[in-house]
Amino acid sequence: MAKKLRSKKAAERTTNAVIYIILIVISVIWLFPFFFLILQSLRGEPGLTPGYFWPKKITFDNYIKLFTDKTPFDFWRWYGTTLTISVVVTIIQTTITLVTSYALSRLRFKMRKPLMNLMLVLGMFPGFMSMTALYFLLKLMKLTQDFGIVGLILVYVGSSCMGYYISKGFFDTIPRSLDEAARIDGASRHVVFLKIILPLAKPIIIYTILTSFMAPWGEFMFASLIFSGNTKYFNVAVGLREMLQRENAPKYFTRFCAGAVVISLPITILFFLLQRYYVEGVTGGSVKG
Amino acid sequence: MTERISELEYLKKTALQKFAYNFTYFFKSIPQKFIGFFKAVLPAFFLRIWLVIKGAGVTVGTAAKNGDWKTRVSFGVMGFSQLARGQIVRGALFLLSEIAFIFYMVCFGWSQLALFPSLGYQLPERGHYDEATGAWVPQVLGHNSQLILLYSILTMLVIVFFVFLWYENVKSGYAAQELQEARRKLPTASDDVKELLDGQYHKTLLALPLLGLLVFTILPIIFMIFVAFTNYDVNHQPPMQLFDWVGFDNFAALFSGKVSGAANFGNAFGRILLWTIIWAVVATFSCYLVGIIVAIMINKKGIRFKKLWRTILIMTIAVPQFISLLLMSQIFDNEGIINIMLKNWGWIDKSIPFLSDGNIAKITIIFVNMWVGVPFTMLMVTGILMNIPEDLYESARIDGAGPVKTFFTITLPYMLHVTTPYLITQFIGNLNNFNVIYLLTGGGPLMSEGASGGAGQTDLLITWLYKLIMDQKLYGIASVISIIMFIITAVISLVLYNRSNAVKNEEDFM
Amino acid sequence: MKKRIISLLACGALTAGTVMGLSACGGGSKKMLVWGPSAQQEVLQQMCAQFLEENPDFGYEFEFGVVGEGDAKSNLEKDPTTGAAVYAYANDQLIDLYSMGALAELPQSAVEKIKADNTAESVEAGKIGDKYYGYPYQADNGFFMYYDSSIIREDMKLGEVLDACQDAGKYMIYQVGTGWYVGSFMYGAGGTYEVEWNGALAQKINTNFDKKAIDINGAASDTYTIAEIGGQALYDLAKHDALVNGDDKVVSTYIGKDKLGAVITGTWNATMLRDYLGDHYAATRLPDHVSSLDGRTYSWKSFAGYKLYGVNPNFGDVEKAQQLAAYLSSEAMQEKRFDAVEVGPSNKKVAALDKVKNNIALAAINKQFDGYSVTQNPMPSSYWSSMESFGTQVIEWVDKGSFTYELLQKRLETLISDLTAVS
Repeated sequence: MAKKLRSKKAAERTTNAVIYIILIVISVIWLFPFFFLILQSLRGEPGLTPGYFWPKKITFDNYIKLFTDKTPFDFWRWYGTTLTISVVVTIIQTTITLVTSYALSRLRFKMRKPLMNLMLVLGMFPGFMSMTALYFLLKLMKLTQDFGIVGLILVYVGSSCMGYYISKGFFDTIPRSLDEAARIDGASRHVVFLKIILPLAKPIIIYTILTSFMAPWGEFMFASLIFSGNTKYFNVAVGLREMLQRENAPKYFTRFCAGAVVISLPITILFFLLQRYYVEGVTGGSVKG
Repeated sequence: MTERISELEYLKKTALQKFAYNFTYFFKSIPQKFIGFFKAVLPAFFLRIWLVIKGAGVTVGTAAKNGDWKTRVSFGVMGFSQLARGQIVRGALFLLSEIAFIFYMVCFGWSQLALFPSLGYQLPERGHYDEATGAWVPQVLGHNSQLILLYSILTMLVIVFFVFLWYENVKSGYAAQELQEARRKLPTASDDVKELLDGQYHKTLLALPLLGLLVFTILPIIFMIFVAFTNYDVNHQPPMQLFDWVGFDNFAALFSGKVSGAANFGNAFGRILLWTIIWAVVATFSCYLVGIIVAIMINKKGIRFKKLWRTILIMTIAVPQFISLLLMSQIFDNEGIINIMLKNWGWIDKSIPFLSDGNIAKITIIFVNMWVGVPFTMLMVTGILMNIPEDLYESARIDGAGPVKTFFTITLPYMLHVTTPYLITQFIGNLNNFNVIYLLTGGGPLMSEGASGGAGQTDLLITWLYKLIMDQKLYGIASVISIIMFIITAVISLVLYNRSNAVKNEEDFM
Repeated sequence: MKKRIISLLACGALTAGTVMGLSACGGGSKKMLVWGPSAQQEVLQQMCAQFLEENPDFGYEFEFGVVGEGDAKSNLEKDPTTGAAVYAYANDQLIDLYSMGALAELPQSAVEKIKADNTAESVEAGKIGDKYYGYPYQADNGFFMYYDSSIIREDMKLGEVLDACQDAGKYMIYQVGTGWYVGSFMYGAGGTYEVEWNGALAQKINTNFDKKAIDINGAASDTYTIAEIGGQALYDLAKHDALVNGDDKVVSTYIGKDKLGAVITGTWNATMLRDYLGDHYAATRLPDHVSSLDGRTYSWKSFAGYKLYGVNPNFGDVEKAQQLAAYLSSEAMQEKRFDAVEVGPSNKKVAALDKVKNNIALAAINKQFDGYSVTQNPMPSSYWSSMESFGTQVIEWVDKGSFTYELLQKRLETLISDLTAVS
């Protein structure tokens, strides 16, 4: 019996060892691109990927140039533009998403089901097919080029109610008895929403803030359309993509890497600080179906 | 054809078989669902709309018949009934909206709508130098079919919205009259506000989100649907040319495979469709299975640093996807770091064409997609794993089942049971996965046996659609393709979310 | 006024007036957007500043966009009525730009001036009918061979160049799979490709790729067609161990690895290559090649393209824009541009300057353009995709080792029918 137990323990230990090895391999694969990105951003030699892995000269020049060079690429300005867009989008989008999902989760009205189906289905339309129409709508309102930021914000938040799905799932898990008790005490639905539901929805609020803050940093399709080739108005995504265009890539690759690190870093830090809520949001809201 | 099996037979199956049965049943029944959708759901939908309109008509009729002069005046002058009865704010808002609407129509809306049937006729005049005087004659833009179409749709939506407001105005005007006749107190502005924060709270909450949805999503979609019925292409491009209505010509051209402007179109379409489906299946399941396995490994008892492993994987979620994908395209380049390292280690002599050979590129893309997608599944699955009852594993272990067997008999069936909706959303999302393909290969390399409308070997339908628009300017055809794709994906997901039998039947798992 | 009201109204209807204030306060000083490639951005901004100094009452402030000459079309076609007032474009985009109404004709006085100052080919590159639509400023848009003179001699044939690279443990770089480069061997064997345009649509396309090939002595091959000689040459090149199929990115990579023996590319890489090759920096026209099919020697031709400044007629003040475009392409500015980025001027006087003549890359492109090039006229998009598709096939053959001459013949038939297909 003892022998059997020991052999079982040994087997367990081998399994664990194998698992550790696999996890280490996976970690290497997952971290490799980021490690490579950081190394390249510190590389002193110009050009695209050289014939070796470790840079011969480590320097912060790429970072310094990123922020001091204004011609042709004014990264500092792009960064400001994107940050502005991102903050405004976060505020509006979070509000809209929460409000919509609360209404769909807690309030009962005639068009509720059809509305949910509609929003679900609309999300399946290829986004770029809408670009031309949206562009000319914004142009009609003079929200391109000079006021492109406003136009972009409108487009990014315009359909945010379609992202109701996960937060509605979360609201569904908050017991209804809570609202009912408050209603009996004479609270209006508005008060119930503000005073009872919202305080309980902290994970999903942070989750929504996080996702809506992250999205504008990676959007390049519509942004490149709306700024009509006026480089200084770009957001970081369009700008960084421009750096990797065929004719620019050899010269700007290392700077692209520096730029990528600069925009990823704050987002990543923010993400890790709030990771707990993100996980709660994903698992709480999406699994229920 | 796809009759369900009997209850008894169903209960006899093992969990995995049940899932497999339900899963295949779901896909097998899609054609039926389609027919059902068009036979039952759509008519019901239109019937419902008709009933709503009829109900509204009755309300308006009653108001016209029984209304006093104030109510009747408000048929023309919106808000009059309310104003005359002392509901100042409500009445003023109605009146203001009518004024704004008339102003909009006179200054802008009508001029667009009048051109809608023809989509414009005035051609632009090029700017040029006058031969006699040598002076510059400015360019005069003519009608722009695209803008006429777009602004007409905008105007139509405004009109629909106005009719709705007008109806609300008549209803509320008549209601005010009835209340007055019954000698009851009319709701004041503050009563209205209170009602909007309580009984009608959904209206307050949803007004702005839905307005955004209407303008930024629905309007462009309607625009695109209309474009499918025009000859908007390389030879009919605004602003220098006009385009016109052509009925169902684009649909006919697509189904007959004779699309002008793209040779070998039919061949390309078939190949791309096939790869799109293979891609969606493989991409979905590879992320899913690997995600679960990784989650299981991390969660296994006795494995330490759980948080560290998870954190490492989650990095990919935190870094903007377009950066990691652009970076990946560099890493896997023929002269990218992977090839360089393999060469430096002496493992290969010639670069492996990770992204420039059609077949290898497909594998690379799926791998990169896993790199992007596995952490999501891992995160989501972690919570569910803890919910699997421990005694299930216990009894399996007593039966002498190893880890592989328990995975296939317990973990996987349970997972599939809980996450089927997620899985199918992922599947549909992958059908339309633009970013991964676009940023990694751009659809390339081109099909090598001939120019097939610019179609590449790794193009999905959606990236190909993008090329049709950007390179070939086949706006009409592209719209037709996206409408068809849209109908297919929309019906599948509607059926799914409204709890198809297949999904429902899973409640009896365990 | 009316427009303002309209825009305000639509605004109100759309966003409940939230953005009304913002759209109302547009305006400010008058701006003129100018596009140029990233490499010339700095000198472009200097030139524009100089222009403002010389014309203090010009009345516009400049804004700049990084848009390469090859990207003018794709940036403008989304909405030709916005975008740059003055922009640089490559002459193969002429028809597209014209048909989208994005090019203003030049005034008679300007036409006379550019004709007097610039080479005839570069001026003609901007011509449609009897009108001119661009101010030429650069006449070097083609490809030729840079090489390391310590291992390669100028009079070597292509095969010898490759062997020399291999012997030295270095590589030659060429883009096998890119439309711009694929046809070069066919043009070298006497190929022609002509398009009759109807607006932006190719109405009829003629090519002689199925006729007999012509060698450097002007003698026609007895058995092989232009397509066959060209296709076989491309395959032979791609198959060679010393060849690396790759674009400018790869050039920089191979410089980093110190493995570059020769490269087929254009003037835009001159500085990088000169820095790398140092004393052994040399360039010449594309070498002739001995066909593996019939043993005859054929030439290898580049495209010859030109770059011009165009004026967008949708920009209100066309006269002012013409003034700037004329200035940017003037003799003084072409020289300034050469000093800054060493691109080949189209201006005859600047081209005759000693410093230009002694520029190795420009001397090579001039050799190339002098009888070893075909003018890169506007092409339908099907040309590029057909050629690229053929290039992809050649790469596949090399990778899989599945090449046979019969396959090549069959594939070339498809290529020719693809090339001549009109919608």
